[in-house]
Amino acid sequence: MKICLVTAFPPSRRGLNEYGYHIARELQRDPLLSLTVLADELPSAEPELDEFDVVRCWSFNQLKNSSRLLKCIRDIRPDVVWFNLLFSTFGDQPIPAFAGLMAPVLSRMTGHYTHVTLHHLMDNINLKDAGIRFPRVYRAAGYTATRMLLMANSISVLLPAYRRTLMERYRGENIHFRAHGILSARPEPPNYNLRGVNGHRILAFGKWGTYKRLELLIEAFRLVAKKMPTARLVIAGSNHPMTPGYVESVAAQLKNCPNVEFTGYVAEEQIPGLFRSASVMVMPYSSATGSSGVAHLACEYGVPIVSADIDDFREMAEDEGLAILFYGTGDPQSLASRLIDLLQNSELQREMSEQNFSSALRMTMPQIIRQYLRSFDLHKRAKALEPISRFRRLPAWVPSRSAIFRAAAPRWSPWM
Amino acid sequence: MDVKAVILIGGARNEGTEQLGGIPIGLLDVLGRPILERVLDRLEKFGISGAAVVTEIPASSVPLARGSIRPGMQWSEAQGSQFWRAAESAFNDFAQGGSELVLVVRLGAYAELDYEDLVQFHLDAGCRVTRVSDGAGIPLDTFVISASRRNDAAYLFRHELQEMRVPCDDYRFAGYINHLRDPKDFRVLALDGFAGIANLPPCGKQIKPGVWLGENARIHRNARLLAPCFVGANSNVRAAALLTRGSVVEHHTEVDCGTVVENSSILQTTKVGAGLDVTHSVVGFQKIWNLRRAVEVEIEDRQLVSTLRSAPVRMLNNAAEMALMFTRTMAQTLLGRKSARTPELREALCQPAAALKTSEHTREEGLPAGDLLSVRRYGNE
Repeated sequence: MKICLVTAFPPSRRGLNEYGYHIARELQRDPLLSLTVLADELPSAEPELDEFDVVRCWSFNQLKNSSRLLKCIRDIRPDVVWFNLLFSTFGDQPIPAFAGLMAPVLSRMTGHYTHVTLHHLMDNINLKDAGIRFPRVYRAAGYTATRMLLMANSISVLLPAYRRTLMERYRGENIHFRAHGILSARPEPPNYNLRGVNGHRILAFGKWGTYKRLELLIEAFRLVAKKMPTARLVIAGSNHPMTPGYVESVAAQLKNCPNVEFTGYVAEEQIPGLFRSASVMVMPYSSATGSSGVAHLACEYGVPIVSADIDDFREMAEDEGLAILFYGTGDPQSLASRLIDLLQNSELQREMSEQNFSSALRMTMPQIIRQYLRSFDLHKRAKALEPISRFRRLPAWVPSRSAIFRAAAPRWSPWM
Repeated sequence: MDVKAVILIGGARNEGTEQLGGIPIGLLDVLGRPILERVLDRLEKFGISGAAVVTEIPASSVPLARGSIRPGMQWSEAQGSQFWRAAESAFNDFAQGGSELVLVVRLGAYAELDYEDLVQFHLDAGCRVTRVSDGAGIPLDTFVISASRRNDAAYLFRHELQEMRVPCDDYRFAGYINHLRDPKDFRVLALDGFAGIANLPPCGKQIKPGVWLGENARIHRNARLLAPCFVGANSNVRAAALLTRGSVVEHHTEVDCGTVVENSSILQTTKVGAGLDVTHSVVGFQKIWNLRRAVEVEIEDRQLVSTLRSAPVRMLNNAAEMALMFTRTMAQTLLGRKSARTPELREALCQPAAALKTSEHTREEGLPAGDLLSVRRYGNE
């Protein structure tokens, strides 16, 4: 099976590049698959990752992305075109982003089986938190874009609530819920000896500045530090593309605070070290834009999670069996008390850690990708069977069945 | 010596065995001829010409064993407890008619007995009744009874051939035996016929080594027959069909375009739809018995498997269907109504399965149950 994966792809640092990389890595392991990654162009020439066939054929905030992608797809002639998408994958400007989102429907119109993995829905995004100036216009455009995406052959969403929304509000069909997965094939059990050494490490990880803000976390950490002076806060990750300079400004305010550490962008190979030594992972969000990749990373390393009480996260925890302590959204006191309760209770830490790790074992990347491949394979089989299924409906009195068969489906029988 | 035979078709020990689709295996064709007919021929070969057949199935099924009925043969049908009474009555008729010995053969197992040797054994042993068993001592439901021993015969029939009035020596038979208990045995019998292990030569003309065709069998020039295989009389194998690995297509059967029949038997008067892969199975009476999975599946969709009716009925049916279609189309054109659309394959997959009352697509994942949809390994792959 020949697959084209349309995604942001390392060394690009655009949204979903890590997830795209892990999908590609799993697909690449299957010797029966031929994978071509249709990735975003890099601002400067950088060497591509080994072992991947990457065609950089679209750019962020470019209007011609759809036509360029189509041209590439036509050249490659894949069995499946798989889009790994956010609404902002093709641009943070509304028109290029919208134009890019036309690619899946155009791909389907050209006769290719098109699947979209959609990481969030416009309906569930708090546009105010995301810093949008004209939310109504964005909502209308988002509605239209969602309708366009639903014209793909099938869509996967990462939360059951999104599936319900697409089915009930948009009357969509062929919508599947698939777990986000933990980006690893074989997660290693947590090493508890690395945790709490010279004080507990509280980890916050993400792209900061929009709905992921640090003010609340820092305020809560001050309260924690009063009770647990040895505790350290590690803020990992860089700015969100919409809020350049945000992390630097917060870091400047806290430059005299030795208990708070800013790591900046974390490369793939540094992630294990970061998570293995963390006692807890905090998700101090004001809203959610889908299933949390960070929460799944925490599960992979068996790290307990403290998160804002957001419906999407509650549902994610219930569906995937994650151990998450929820605090009142926007309430630093609540966050601090949750952190203190957890950090002072080693049994609870261990229990949550084990639960998260066992959840991770149930949704490794190979298992998730296998689900996708199974549905692609089903489509391929159904497509192969369709002409013959139609042929069977010919009434018995139609003469020359053999001649009709030969004319209609010559490819079915190479010995003819 | 006047030796007669009573052949019993039915009276299986366990319900559901020794039959396919409600028809006793003994009445089904194997390589062009019913097993019953082959047994009768064998008896004739050993000079046992008079035979009475007692069957447990309704008269409507008798034509399945067409050609078995021959002059001078008695044929009676009896259900339930009357079956054994009818067998006893057939025995008594022969005894009164002056026969000296009566062979009782229940089909049941197919055994290539040397009846001459069996009769000689019975006479030498001086028994009233001689029972035949296989090399392992398992009875084959075949007996030789001295016609004068009516009480012994009555006792035997009333105990459904499982007990004898007076113990006797068993005649141990070490030749070819097939117990014909299930579709697997039935299939093995056909393969043994091809291989020459059983004396069941295919009834047809050998058009090339290992490929036999019955009378009036039609094979499309683009169909492929790979030896060994057999196509029965008046059968039709359409374009791009493939018969391979010991497949047997019995008489008045149709294999539609593009269908692959691999190591399978298609029973008489069966139509197998287009583009199917029939492997390791016995197909007929709108059922499929898969031998590897040991399952029996009833096929409701007549586009896949159906039973062919006689040619005139089929012709009338087709004419009626054609007339109905034209009338319906005309009416729809005039009234401007759309006809009910048959769902596409993918839609059909999403619809609830009649037997399971659930959709193939699970609600949560939207994936179909694993192996229910499969595409052939042949063709364009």
